[in-house]
Amino acid sequence: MQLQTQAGASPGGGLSGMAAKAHVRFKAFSVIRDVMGAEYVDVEVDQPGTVQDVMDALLARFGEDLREKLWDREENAMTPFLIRLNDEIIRSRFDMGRSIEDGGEVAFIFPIGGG
Amino acid sequence: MQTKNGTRKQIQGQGYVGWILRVNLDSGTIGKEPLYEDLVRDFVGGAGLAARIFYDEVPAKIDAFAPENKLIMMTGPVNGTMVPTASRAVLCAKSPTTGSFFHSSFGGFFAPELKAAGYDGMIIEGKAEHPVYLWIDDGTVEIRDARHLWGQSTFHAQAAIRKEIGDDEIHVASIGVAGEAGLAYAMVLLDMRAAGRGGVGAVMGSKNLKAMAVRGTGGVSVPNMFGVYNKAQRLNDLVATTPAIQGLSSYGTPRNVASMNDAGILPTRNWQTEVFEGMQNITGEAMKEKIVKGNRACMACSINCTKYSVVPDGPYKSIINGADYETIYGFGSCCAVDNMEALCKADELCDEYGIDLISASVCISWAMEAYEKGMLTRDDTDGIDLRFGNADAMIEVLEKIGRNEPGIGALLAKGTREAARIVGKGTERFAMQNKGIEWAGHTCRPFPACAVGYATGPRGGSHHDIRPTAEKSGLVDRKVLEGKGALAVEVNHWLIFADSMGLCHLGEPIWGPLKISQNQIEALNAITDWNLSYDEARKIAERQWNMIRCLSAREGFTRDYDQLPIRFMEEPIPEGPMKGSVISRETLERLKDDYYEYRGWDKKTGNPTPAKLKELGLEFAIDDF
Repeated sequence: MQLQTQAGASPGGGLSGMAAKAHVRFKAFSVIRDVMGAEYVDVEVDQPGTVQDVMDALLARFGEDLREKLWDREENAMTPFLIRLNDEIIRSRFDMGRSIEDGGEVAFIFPIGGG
Repeated sequence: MQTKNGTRKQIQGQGYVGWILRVNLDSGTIGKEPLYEDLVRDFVGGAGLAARIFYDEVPAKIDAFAPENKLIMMTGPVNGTMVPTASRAVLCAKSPTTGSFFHSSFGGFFAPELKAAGYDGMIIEGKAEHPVYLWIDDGTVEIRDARHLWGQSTFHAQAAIRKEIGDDEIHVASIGVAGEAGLAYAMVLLDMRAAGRGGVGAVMGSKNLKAMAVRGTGGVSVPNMFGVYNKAQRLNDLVATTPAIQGLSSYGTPRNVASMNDAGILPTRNWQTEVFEGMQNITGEAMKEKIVKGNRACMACSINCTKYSVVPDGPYKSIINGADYETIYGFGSCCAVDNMEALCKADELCDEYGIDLISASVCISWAMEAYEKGMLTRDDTDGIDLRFGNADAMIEVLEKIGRNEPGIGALLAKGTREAARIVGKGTERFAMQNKGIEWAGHTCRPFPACAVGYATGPRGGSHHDIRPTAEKSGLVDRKVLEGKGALAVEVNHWLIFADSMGLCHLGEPIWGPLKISQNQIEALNAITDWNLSYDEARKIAERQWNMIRCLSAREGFTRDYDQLPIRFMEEPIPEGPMKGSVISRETLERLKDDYYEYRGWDKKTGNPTPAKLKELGLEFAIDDF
C-alpha cells in the first residue's frame, strides 16, 4: 500500500523523503460521469502537480473506458476540449502542464454547438 | 439560366435523381424539369443550389408574402444514401424577418422520401385561391383542397392527411395556425422535425399551402455501391468512436448543459448572465432520468441524438421529440425556468402551433426582463405576472403567441426586434436578435470568431452559419483576435458545403470543425464519382456563400446589417469563469474588417467585389448591387 499524506499536513513539504500530495477534486459530466459513476471524483497527485498529473491519475483509475472518451483515434491525440481549472478556462491540447494546488478543482468541458 | 457551353446534360445517378418538381399554385400547373449537371457541379445541391435558383427566379425587394416569393425545398446528393447524418435538406424562401434569402434546415425522413419519389427538389410558386395541400405519390402529384384543415394544428393536419391518404407511413410537412397567421417566426413541421427558423412557415401560409405530403417507392442510385458502403462504414465507425459525438446518443443535444454552466456559458435570464442556479434540474442527465423513454434517429443516422420524452400527466402533460438543447436554453435557463416538465410542454406547444421555439422562448425572456425592469406592466402582459422563473406564465404567454392573440401574444409574435421598437423605453438594448432572428443558445462573448460569424451570417442569430466549436474546444485560442476572420470564413464553408450535400452539422467533429474536412469531400466523391480536391470543394463552398451574400446585397443590405445584439457589445459576462468577456463595437468592427478582407469583399460595403464574383463564376450578379 502506498503511503499517502495530505499536503500541508506537515510543514516543510511532508514526511521526510516523500513527496507531498495535492488533493484535487475532479468534476465529471455526461459520458465522463457515466464512466466514473459519480459527479465528483477525488484524486491525489504529487506536489508540485499539474493538470496532466490529474489526467494520469484518472486514467490509471478508470483505464480504457475513460481513455476512449478522451482520445481521438482519427488524429491519435487527445480530443480537444476546454478545462476549467478552478475559476480559469484552459485548453486540453496546450495547457496540461499548468500547475494545480492542493484543494484545486478540475472539470472537462466538451464543446457543444448544436441542437 | 444559361449554361456555360450551351449544352446541358441532365444528371442522374451519382446521388441525384435528376428532376425538380415545379408547382404553380396560381394556375394549378404541375411539372418537372431536369436537374442539370453543370448546375450541381457549381452548387452541389441543398442550400447552394436553392440560392442559385432563387437568384434567377425571385426578384429582389419583393414582399416576403407576395406571390412572387417562392418556396424551394432542396435535397442534397447524400440524402437517401447510407452516409451517416445524411438526412438534412433545406426549405428556402425570402424571409419575412431577415428580408433576404433564408435556408431553413431540417432533418428526419422527408428529404430522402422526396428523392425516392423522384425529385431532388421542388419549387412552389404563386398563391392558391384557397387552402390546399400537395400530395406527391411518386410520379403522381396533386394539389388537394385543404379548407377543412385550415385552422388545425400541425399534429392534427398531419394526422388528417395520413388518414385521408390511407397511409400511416407517408411523410407530411405542415404549418400550424401560426403559419396561417403569418407569424414572423412560424415554422414548418415535417413529421416531428422542424424547418424552424426564418419564418418559412409564414411564407408557406401566405401561399395558402397548408401541407406537403410525400410517398416515394424508388431509390437513389450511386455509381459504386460498394465504394459508398465502405465509405459509410468507415464514417459510421468514426461517429461511434469520436469523443465529441459520444454523449449525443446517451443524452441528446442537452448532454453538455451542466458543463456549459460550469464553464459560465449557459445563457441565463435573457443573457443577463451565463450561469444558471437551477441548472441541475434541466441537464441532459436530469432529462434522461425524468422523462426520456427512448431514442429516435433521422434516416441514415447512427448518432440517435433525438430523445422521445413523455410527461404522462399533470399540467405539463406532453409528448415530444426532445427536448433539444435549444429548448432547454430558451425556455429553461433563458427564462430561468428549471422545471423540465414545463420545458417539454413548451416544446410541444411550439410544434403544435408551428412556431420556432428558439425565437418564441427568446421573445418571452425579453418580455420577462422588460417586465422585471418595469418597462412592461401587468397591463401590457394581459395581467400575467411575467417574471423570470414563472413557468405557468411562460406557458400562458406562449399559447397567446401561438394564437397571435391581441395583447402580449401578438406583440411577441412579431419578434424581439419589432416588439422592442414598439415598446421602446430602451428595451432594444436587450433584444437578443441579429437581422431579426433571435439568438440561439451559444454565446459569442468569449469567442471572437463565433462573434464575427454570427454578425456576418445571412441568417442572423443562427448557430448554423458559424459554430463556436473551434474556440469552445480550445483547438484555437479564444483570446486571440488575429486570424479569427479567416477562421469564421472557413467554418462558414464547411457548414454551407454540408448544407448543400445534405449532412447534419451535429456530425461536426467528422465533417468540420475548422474547415471542409476530407471526410466531407470523400463522402461526396464516393456518392457522385467525382474527384474533387480540397481546393475545388472549397471553391464551390465559397461560390455558395457568395451567392447567398449577393442575394442579401441586392436587397440593399450592407456592412451595417452585420451586427450583434447590443448586450453582447456593451455588457461583459458578469460572473463565472468567462467573467468580463465582451465583444465591443470596436472589436466587432475590427473582426468584420478581417473577415471581409479574407473573403475578398469590399470592406466599406461588406459585399463581394466584381473581381471576386468573376473569380467564382458569379459575374451575372455584378450589376445587381
